[in-house]
Amino acid sequence: MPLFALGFNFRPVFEAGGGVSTEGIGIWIAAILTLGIYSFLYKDNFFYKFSEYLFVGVSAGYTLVLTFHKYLKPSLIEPLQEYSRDFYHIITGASVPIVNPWMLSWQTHLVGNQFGSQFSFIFWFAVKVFLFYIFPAILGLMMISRVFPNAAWLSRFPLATIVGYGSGIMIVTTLHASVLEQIKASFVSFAPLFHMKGVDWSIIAQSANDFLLVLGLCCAIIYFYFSAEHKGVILGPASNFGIWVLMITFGASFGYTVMARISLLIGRFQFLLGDWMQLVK
Amino acid sequence: MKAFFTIINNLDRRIIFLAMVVAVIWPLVTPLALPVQITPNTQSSYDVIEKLNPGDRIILSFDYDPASSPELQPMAKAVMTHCYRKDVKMIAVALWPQGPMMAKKAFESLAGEAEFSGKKYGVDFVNLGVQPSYVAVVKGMGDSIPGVFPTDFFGSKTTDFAIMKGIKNYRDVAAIFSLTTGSAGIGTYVTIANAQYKTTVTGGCTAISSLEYYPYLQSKQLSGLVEGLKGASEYERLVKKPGLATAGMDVQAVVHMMLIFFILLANLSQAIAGKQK
Repeated sequence: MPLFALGFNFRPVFEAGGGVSTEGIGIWIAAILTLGIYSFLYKDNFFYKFSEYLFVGVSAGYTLVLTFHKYLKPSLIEPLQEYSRDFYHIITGASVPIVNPWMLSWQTHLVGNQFGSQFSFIFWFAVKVFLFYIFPAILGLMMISRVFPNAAWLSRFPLATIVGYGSGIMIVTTLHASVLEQIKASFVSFAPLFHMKGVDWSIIAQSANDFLLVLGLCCAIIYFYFSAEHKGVILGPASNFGIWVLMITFGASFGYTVMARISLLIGRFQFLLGDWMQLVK
Repeated sequence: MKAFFTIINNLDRRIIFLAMVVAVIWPLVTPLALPVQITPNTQSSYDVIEKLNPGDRIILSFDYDPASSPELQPMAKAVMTHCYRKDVKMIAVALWPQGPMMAKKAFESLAGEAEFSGKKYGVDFVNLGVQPSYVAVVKGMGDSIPGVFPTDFFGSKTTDFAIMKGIKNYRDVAAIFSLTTGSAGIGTYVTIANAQYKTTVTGGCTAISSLEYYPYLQSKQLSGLVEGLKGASEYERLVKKPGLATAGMDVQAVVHMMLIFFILLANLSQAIAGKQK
């Protein structure tokens, strides 16, 4: 109430017509929970713990529902329903349109109603449904076996499948994109430096940049070369320079991290001051 | 003087938090309008869209969730603004489960503006939603985009949309613009779509992950990179439409100055008044 008295124009919960604004309620809940989370900066308290637990619970619930509706239902449940419904209609000869194109082609094929064709239909139907839906579903269920210590070993099979499939797809492309292309990019040409007419500072700057890149790359790699002691005329200074290169990289990374974290803080304050308090646009 | 630094040494950290709150609120309430310099990485990313012809189609990949929206949502809006003005059609996909919601929010936000009131869903923009296993999705789109996304986020058949006419795979899109946080996103598109299908890949990412993509910029596998809130504010400047990112950069400047001041003060107090027990 004191804040209202100060003239802050908080987002109303009720619409002009008198109805309740769901968006307004959502903004108020989000604002209160945001303040709850930030209250930890003062000290640990019940309000913070409540907000944190609520966030964890809602996130888990949301992920579960999203996984069911966006992944499990369209990829497993709905196709299985469609296949079994079409299978039933084909077998019983019901005059209902077949939805699945693969099943529709079988229906056309089975017009003659020969016993051999029916047998092969049932066989291929069982193979397709098992390979594409039942088997992956069983593999998925095996992941849950980790909950039970005695049966935890079962989860190795789906994990092995995921690792094998992921490696199969990624090894060649990663090797090409992240190794070969990177090596190629590190072969820089200094030819323009020797062919420039007069003093062209842009070429000189580019060549200096390229030289620094190659030098930094080589020295950073030398730092990670452990088969010889980092002493002597070459390995010692090169390794030291490699450390400098790495430290500058870590510094830049830390700088970006600070900027990213402050961006999140700004986002929250833009919400509090804008959407909730309507103080800024 | 030593007494002052002794107080600084024993300063309650909550006073620093309070100073931080003031440093964030002040520039938001009274904008400082500090200048934003365009970096070459953002300019390159902008140029990819700028060089496209009206009617060209791009894949706009929303690979983030609400946690990263302070940085990436203003970026998404700036890129969408650019595409709308150039009449470049956007096919929104997502490698993150919450990505389609972020796409929907960005689309709805721009749809409310008078400048883009004529833009239609299914003609200028479509939200194809998300599919599981992001590596398989990126790989699969190389064969068939409608095959990977048979329906849009709302359940309508993908091939029924005007924007999807003639779209089969990466060869039919002019570029990919990925808005990335985490592992799924720019890296996956560069590794598969660019390396294997030679599709132009550009994008924007959270500041924290931008260094990860620098090697791809150097090797020109990635055509430009919009980095964090700073990059988003640069893009807003390029499209001449200051928004949340531009406002946020005033705060960034003030907070960074304050952080530097506190770091110097803390080191000075440590040197003069000695180490705190």
